[in-house]
Amino acid sequence: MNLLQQIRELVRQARLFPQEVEVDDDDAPLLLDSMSTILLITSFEDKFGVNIDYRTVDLNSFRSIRTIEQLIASHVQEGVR
Amino acid sequence: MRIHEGAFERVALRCGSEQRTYRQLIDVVKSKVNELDRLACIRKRVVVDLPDSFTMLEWVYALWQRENSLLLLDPRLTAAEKADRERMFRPEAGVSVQNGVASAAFGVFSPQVDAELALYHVEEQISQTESPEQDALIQFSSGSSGIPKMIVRSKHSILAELEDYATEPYSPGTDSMVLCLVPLCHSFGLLSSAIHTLSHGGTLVFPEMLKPGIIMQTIVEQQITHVYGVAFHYQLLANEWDKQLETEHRWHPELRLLCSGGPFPETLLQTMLSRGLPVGQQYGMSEVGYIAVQWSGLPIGSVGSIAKRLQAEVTDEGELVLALNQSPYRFEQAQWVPHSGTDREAYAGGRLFTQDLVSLDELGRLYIGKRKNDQVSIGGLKVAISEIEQVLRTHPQIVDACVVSYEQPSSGTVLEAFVVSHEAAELAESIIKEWLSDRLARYKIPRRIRFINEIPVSPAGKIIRGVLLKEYCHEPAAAN
Repeated sequence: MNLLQQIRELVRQARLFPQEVEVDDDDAPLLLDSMSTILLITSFEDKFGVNIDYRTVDLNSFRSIRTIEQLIASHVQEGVR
Repeated sequence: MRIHEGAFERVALRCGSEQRTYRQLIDVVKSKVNELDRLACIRKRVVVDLPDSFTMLEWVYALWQRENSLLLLDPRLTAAEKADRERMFRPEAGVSVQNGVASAAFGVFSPQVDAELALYHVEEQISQTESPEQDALIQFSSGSSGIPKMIVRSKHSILAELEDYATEPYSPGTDSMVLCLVPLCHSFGLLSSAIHTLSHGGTLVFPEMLKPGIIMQTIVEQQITHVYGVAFHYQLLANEWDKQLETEHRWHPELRLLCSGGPFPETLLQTMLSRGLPVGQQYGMSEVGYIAVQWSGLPIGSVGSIAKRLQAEVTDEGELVLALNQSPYRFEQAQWVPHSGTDREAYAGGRLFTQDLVSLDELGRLYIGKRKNDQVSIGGLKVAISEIEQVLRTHPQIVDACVVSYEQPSSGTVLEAFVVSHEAAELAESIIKEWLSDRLARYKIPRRIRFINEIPVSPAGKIIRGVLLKEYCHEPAAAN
């Protein structure tokens, strides 16, 4: 499973949306509220071993699954360096 | 609203490595009072637009010492929502972040912020009905008409609430370490958690971040005795208790958790109980502050007995009604009924219909049922569904709108909107959400927006939300 698929799966598992709704558009705005964002960050940190500071991170990074992927990819890369 | 003066060297406020002793807190408040005196900011209407911080609490104490009337703006509100509230409040002065805006999507806690006090030029005179020295706290709650309700708490009402709260079994006292996870701009965080703790000499602790590991570390390292949160916070911590049990470090043996803002998810509650962690419940409303609280977690589902200062009755329909000496609203509201001649003695001022359907057991313990109106609780914050519908209907391409709510296992209450538009083909869900985000705080924005041909109504003209819930939210095959 590639990174995008894993993120899609985590967003789906977080049940931020009604269970039957498929997260099928990676570019669609998620418009997450603060609690949903914090819950998602927690799941990303657990899954990818990254550390995301929601106080300083650009909130635009949570606009869509695609932008989240870019955020996680950059954090994973930083961790590798 | 006094700060405890019995232990000057005890820590009053703490967030990570930042802290204030009681002596330091009292001194900082004094310096702010001097600034108020210098600018003659006394008995004025003051809007406070600061993120949750030591600074915000210091200003609240200072402003109240000079009998100002305060409006605390929730940092999560949009600019438009803040402007609406300020228009109704007509502030004569404001405290805000220096060279910046307090807007913070997360309501992040910062120990210290650079704040400045400014006097505004207001031409109109204060009306005879307003008395800033008495109207200590102004709050707004979601109004069903789309216009937020302006709620006035008098100094007397707040003092009576605090006096009552101190008598509740297990409420924080002199040696308590109190972890506040909830916003300070609402009664639960400001009065029950912060002001109560600081008037009794306890230490008020804030987490550096709302992350499960950091919150748990704070609970254990600081040996927290009381936690103020909403269901979301305990959901966030759900996996941390077991992780902690694998270490040699334990939380305080008398740790008590308190939840407000809506029912606690049953599965989570059972999980907490199985770990020996009772979750108490608090019930209240901005109009009167706390109404009932029980820290023991028992009996499950109860919010405890009605506070002593409140005169309450339950209508035949099951609605909780409170008798108050005066209306908590600045403007007329349907849920406030002034006394009539016949019951003048029984109800000096009038009756506040809480719109909560409740029951009482044989020991007088209160159980909260459903809301009678269209308000729902999202993460502990009350949201009127009709407010969202009103805003949606002002969209130039939306003909009609209906919002439904339902419960979800992990997220709690979820909102979903149905809109009718003749230009649905061009109007994407994402466009509407973006448009809404300029007008409503994020927690009020429906998770999903669906396009339908018409809103189903009964022969009497009433929207049949149940049809939408059944056909669209829970039967995907039927969705458009």
